[in-house]
Amino acid sequence: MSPGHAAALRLTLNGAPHEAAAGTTLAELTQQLELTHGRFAVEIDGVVVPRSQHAERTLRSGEKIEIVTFVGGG
Amino acid sequence: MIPGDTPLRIGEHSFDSRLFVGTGKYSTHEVMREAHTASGTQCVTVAVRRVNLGSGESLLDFIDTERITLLPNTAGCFSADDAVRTARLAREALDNKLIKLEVLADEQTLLPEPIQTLEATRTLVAEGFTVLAYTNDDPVIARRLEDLGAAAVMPLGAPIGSGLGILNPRNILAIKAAAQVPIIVDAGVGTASDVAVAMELGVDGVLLNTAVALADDPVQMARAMQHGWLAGRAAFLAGRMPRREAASPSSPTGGLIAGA
Repeated sequence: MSPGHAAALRLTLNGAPHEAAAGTTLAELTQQLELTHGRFAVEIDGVVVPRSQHAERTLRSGEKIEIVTFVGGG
Repeated sequence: MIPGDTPLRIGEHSFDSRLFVGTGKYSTHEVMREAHTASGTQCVTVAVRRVNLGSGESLLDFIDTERITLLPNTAGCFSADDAVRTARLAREALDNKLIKLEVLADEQTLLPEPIQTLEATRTLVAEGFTVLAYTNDDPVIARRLEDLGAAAVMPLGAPIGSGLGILNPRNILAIKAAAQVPIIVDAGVGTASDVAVAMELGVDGVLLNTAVALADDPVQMARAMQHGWLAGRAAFLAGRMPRREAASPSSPTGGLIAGA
């Protein structure tokens, strides 16, 4: 999606600007990001979106999306 | 497990190994995996972070989750709100109610922030989490955490990553004596004898990370840690002899050939 596209969604993804096509669902976004393995979780504007809702959750401009996974820690 | 001992139960989970190991600071994921195997651990901690888009290797590919339970932590959180958010994300990602709650006061001391920890415990318990609460070696806060419904209380032996051992064994004893929930010494362990010392105090487990990950040979140190907890636990179960001020001979004083 080119910047400035009229129908583009302007999102914040993990703290950085991110654009997606209008009507993109959360499931489509995670596919585009190649998050194919199961161990991740998504929060939109501070609220966890359960996996079961990713397919029907349409993204809206201005939303802040956090996608997390697991790294080494103590 | 040691003969005569019982498994450690935390929430719905049961562990034969009382050693909890971290997954941070290893030189490679392969070394970590080998160290986990050598330690005999059945539960390892993992941290929650933003996905690194475009990166291939996943930490979890190097953990045998058939045998090892994942214990997500809230490391890096300095407020109850952030810790609660992190815990919710971890639960969603793993479909697992376990959380090692860690709310720190500042980046210099890395000491637990007791008020925020209490607040987050209250919220997470109400949401059905099995909370293992990292805390200072303060018997009063430990009691409050248990009162709020923490499934386990995890007092520090010494500051995170310091390797200084069990700095205040009397406080650990006091915490254990007053607790109905498992007490797991978390942080501060430097070497195997520190684990043995903690277990000899009667605590239910030890959690460590840096002492293994930053050893010259992490796999060998992991093995040592397993021996450490087993030795300390067996010694605790055996019941040590009383300390005496003066020497007492081990061999009979009668029947000597000398001086007869």
